[in-house]
Amino acid sequence: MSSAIRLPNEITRTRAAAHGRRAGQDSAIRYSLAITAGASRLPPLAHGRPPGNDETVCGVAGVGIRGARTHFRGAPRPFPLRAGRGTGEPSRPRAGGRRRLQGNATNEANNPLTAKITVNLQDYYTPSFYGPLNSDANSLLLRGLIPMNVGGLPQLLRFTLPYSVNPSPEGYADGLGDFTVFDLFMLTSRLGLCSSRRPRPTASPAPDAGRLARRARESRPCHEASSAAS
Amino acid sequence: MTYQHSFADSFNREPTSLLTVQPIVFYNLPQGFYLRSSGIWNFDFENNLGYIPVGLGAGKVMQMGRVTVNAFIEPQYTVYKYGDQVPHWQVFAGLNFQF
Repeated sequence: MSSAIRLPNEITRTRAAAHGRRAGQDSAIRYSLAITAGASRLPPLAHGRPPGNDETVCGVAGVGIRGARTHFRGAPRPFPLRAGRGTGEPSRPRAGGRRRLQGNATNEANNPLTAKITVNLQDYYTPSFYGPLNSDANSLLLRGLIPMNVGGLPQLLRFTLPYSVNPSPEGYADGLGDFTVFDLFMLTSRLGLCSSRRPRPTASPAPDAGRLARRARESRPCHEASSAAS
Repeated sequence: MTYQHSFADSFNREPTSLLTVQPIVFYNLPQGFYLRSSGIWNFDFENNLGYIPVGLGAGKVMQMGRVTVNAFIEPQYTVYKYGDQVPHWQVFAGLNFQF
């Protein structure tokens, strides 16, 4: 019987997604330091300047502080870092580039490093757990991203505020979870931590045009070719 | 990849030592649709528990005026775990607004 009472608490301790609540616990404060690192194939700062055609592999590092005065003591859902597919092209419409534009817009929308003000309303529903506990749980997350430029250094401020419903000995417990704030520093090429790759091969008329020009030069009379070379 | 460690617990909250890794794959489809997988691996050193979910979901990016709306849903199944009382199934859904 004691294990039956303890089970929900173990969930609240261990289930990082759920921001669990200990039964009978009043407000508590916890501060924790989180460090994060990741990489993306997408340019991190597409806002304000077109990134060009290069694929860019960029790193990101961040420091976050989680402080909460809530009913919950479970670990907050971690900061997301996502690497997506991308061509690094500007997002402006281009003639004949409709499909690529769509792909780029999708990449930009999915890239958490896109430096645009972002508001996310997300939800993790857990219909079942491993183990003997027969219950479900839910976490609603309000997330946001605010790009900043402090002292010439571009940074991304991310925050997450969860509202969770978790199993408890009394049935369910609900309330706000730990508020999480991350400040992400971009590791740009200026710091030598960001490498550019050659542009991805694209289907363009350029090779054909070059071949045609070469053929035209080869078919020209010798004196024209020599004058052209000089 | 994120590592979180508590440094200023109040006495009635237990310490935290949590490593999470989130590999994410997107595959773009025409007309703003895309496939996604973004399960977050959790390794809780404080309680000696961990689980690795694998997700497969879909989403769509829509432009509404100056706002880019991104809607998605992604079921996730835990393929590896140690310890009990970790999620078996999860459904991750979201509505993102990019201004």
